[in-house]
Amino acid sequence: MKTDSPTKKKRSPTKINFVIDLSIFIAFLVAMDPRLTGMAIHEWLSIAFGTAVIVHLLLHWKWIIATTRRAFGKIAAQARINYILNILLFIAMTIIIFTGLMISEVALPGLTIQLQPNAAWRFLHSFSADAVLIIVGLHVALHWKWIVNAFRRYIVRPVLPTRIKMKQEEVHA
Amino acid sequence: MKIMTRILIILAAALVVVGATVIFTNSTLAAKVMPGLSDGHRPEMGEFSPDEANFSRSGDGRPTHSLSEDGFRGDGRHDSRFSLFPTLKNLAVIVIIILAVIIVERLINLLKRRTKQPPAAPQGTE
Repeated sequence: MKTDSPTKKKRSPTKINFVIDLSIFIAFLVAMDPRLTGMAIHEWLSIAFGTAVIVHLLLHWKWIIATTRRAFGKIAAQARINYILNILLFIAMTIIIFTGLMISEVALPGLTIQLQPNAAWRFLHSFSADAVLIIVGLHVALHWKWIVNAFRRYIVRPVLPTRIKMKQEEVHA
Repeated sequence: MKIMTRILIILAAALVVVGATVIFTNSTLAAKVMPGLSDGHRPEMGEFSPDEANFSRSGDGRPTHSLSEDGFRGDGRHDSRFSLFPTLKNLAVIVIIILAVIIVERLINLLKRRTKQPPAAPQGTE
């Protein structure tokens, strides 16, 4: 008997990771400076960014657990650097989001939550923002090969054949 | 359930960082790192020390702030004018770091390859 059950196409985890990571990176760049978006978008996008970071961590949970177990034993130098860098990035991201909430001018007052902002939170917010920028640069650099491969696989390859086809059609026409 | 547990673990880790941050800002170490901000005196945003330039001040000595057209305070915290330049600058910083790391990585690999090359076999020993 023939069954016509629709076969579910399993999505590649690498593709999901690439799309989410690319979105996080773009959101990071946009949220980094309120002059680009205005304060309201800066604050709400940064709060959403916190959720995206949690999703990013959940997607790489196996790596986190495996590397944490091996971190104090024998491990490649690059993996150790990467692990330490990721911890620093998590700490800096948490501080930037927390201090951002503490000095919030739009998001929290909009929810009728009034906090007493002070210069210390603001100093930490600016300091951790600078730190995050450098750590993100190092984080991207350490994963550069993966990013280039994923970019070729999911963006260049699917786009290029259609462009070549279109050019061929133009020539034939 | 598994995902919920993992989210709680992440949030707990974040809470530890937040706790440490709060403790740090209230500590004496913060006063050394951020002089003028944490030594018991916590100025409000936009509050300046008396020796700082010519800001218009209200009766109690605090600087007065006027709201710009779009509602942002003009205290220098943020320039409300749209500008793409800071974002491009941030992107440039990231690109420079990536290039630096790639160059250093390649140099290290090159050095490793050179040091790993076996010494040439001595001739005429057979």
